[in-house]
Amino acid sequence: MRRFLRDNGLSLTFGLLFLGALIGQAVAGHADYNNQQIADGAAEVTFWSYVVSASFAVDVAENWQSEYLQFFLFIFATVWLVQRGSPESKPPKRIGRESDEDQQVGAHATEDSPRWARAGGWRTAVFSQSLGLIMAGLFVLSWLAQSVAGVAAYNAEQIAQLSDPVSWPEYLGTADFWNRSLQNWQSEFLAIGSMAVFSVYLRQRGSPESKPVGAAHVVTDESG
Amino acid sequence: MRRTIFVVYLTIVIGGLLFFIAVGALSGGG
Repeated sequence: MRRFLRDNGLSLTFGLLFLGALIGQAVAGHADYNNQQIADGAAEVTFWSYVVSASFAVDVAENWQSEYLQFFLFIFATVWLVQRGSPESKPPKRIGRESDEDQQVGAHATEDSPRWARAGGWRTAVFSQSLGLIMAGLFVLSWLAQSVAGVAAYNAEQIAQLSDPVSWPEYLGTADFWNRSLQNWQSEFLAIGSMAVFSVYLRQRGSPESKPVGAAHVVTDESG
Repeated sequence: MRRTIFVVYLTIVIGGLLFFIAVGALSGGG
């Protein structure tokens, strides 16, 4: 058990932090929602009806989509784009999808390689992109969730203000939808850019996200 | 065991997203 906790510390810790923060968001979001209801002269809602409301759903989904967009773009972009000196990047001479030998696929797979890396054909092709594809798929699904929950929350507000509700396609052209999307995207892009640049010149002793403290600024990590 | 965590993460994310889509659709979205 002790060994299991040690070997999976990262996923377990962040999983618990996620659940704690999500519960915190639900509690704070519920209080904020009811404050607005009181200000509008509307009835307050219970905690559970807030948790299953479109308002809570769109607030969670808009953050999820931007995180998966970030990882999906980062995973695909780093195949082709490099940042010399950054541990997040591979060296310029390895730009591209690399050889089957480098990637240990097909005839170059080892006995320990995953079955789909050894199989060849469409299975190896799919498996070779599976990390990026799952991130892209989760981005699309969470952006869809944001839009579907977003239009419901938007229309509830429209109706409360005696304005016309909008259809889903109409909502995709609203300022509300794009404001929610872009405010999350800009922060993700800034964070990725910052990480790529800061990690060239700054170090974190012991972290695999950093180069060794004494490594030269110009060195780009081979394992990147 | 590590595979269990993988499945739990995927289930939480995909389950959560399907839940949010259902909430949106049932609240008059989509």
